[in-house]
Amino acid sequence: MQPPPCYNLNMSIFTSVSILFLAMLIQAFLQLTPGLFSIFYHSALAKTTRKKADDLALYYILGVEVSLAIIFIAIFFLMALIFTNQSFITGIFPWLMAGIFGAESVAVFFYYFRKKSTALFLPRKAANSLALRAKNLKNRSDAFVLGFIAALPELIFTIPLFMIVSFEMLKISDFPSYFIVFLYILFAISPLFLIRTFFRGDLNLADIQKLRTKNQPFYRLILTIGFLLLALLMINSGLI
Amino acid sequence: MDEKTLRKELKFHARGLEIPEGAADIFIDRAVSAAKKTLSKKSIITDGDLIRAVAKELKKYNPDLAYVYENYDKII
Repeated sequence: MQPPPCYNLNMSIFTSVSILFLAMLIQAFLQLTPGLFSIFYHSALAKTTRKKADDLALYYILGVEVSLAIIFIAIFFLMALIFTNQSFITGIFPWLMAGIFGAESVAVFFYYFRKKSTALFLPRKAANSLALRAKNLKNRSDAFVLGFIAALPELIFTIPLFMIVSFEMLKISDFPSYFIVFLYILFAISPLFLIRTFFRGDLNLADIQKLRTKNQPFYRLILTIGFLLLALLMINSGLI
Repeated sequence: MDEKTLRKELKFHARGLEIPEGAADIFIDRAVSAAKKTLSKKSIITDGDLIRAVAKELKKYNPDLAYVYENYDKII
C-alpha cells in the first residue's frame, strides 16, 4: 500500500527542518569565534574601560555576522545557479554531502581540538597571529575586521553547512529564505552574546576559559554527532 | 623572553582581569623573583619552564592571573 502523497511531502519538510536545525546547532558549537572573542574582550578590558570594551565587543559580533551573512548569501545564489534544471547534480548532491559530513564527523572527533584544551586545529602561527591581532586592537574598525576574519578559518566546516541549508531551502520553495538566513546567523552568533553576558557579569577570562575547557568533551561530542546525523539525513534524502 | 617583556605581559593580563594595579605589581614582583630563584638552578630554560615556574608562583597570590598566563596560548 503506497503512503499518501502528503506523507512524502511532510517527511521531506521534516527532513529539511531537521537539517536546518542541526546545521544551526553545529554552527553555534564551532569554537573559533567564541574563543577569539574571549581573548578580544579580555584584551579590550586591559586597554580601555568596561563600557568601551563592551562597545567594541558589539562591533566584533557585527563583523562575524556580516562575514557569515555574505558567505551564506553568496553560496545560496551559487547553489540556485547550479541546481536550476540540473537534475543530475541534484541526484548526486545528497550522496556527495553525506560523504563530506561523514569525513567531517571523523575529523572533528580526532583533529578539531588539540589534546584536552580548547586549542584548535589551526597552525600555532595562525592562532598566535589572531590572538596578537586581538591584543593590538585600537578601535571599532579593528574590532569589526577581527570579527570578520574570525569566521574565515572555519570555512572548511561552515561552507558545507551553508551548502546543505541552501539546498534544502531551494528544495522546499515555500521556505522564507531571507528569514532562514537571518535565523541561522542569529543562532550562530548566540554563543558570542552569551560570552559577552558572562564578561558583563562577574566572570573574567579565567572563569570563562575554565568553563570552556570543562565542556570541551561535550562540544566535541555534539559536533561529531551533529555531522554524523547530517550525513545520515543526507543519505535518507538521497534515497527518497 | 626577557624580564621586562614578561612583566609587561603579566601586567597586561592583570589589567584584563581588572586586578588593582598596585596589588598586581606587588605579586608580579614576588612571583617573578621567586621564579628566577627556582630557574637559576637550571642550565637550560625553555619557554615552557618559564611559564610553569611563573604560574606556580603566581598561583599563591592570584590563581586567575596564573591560570590566564599559563593557558593563554591554549584558548584557540
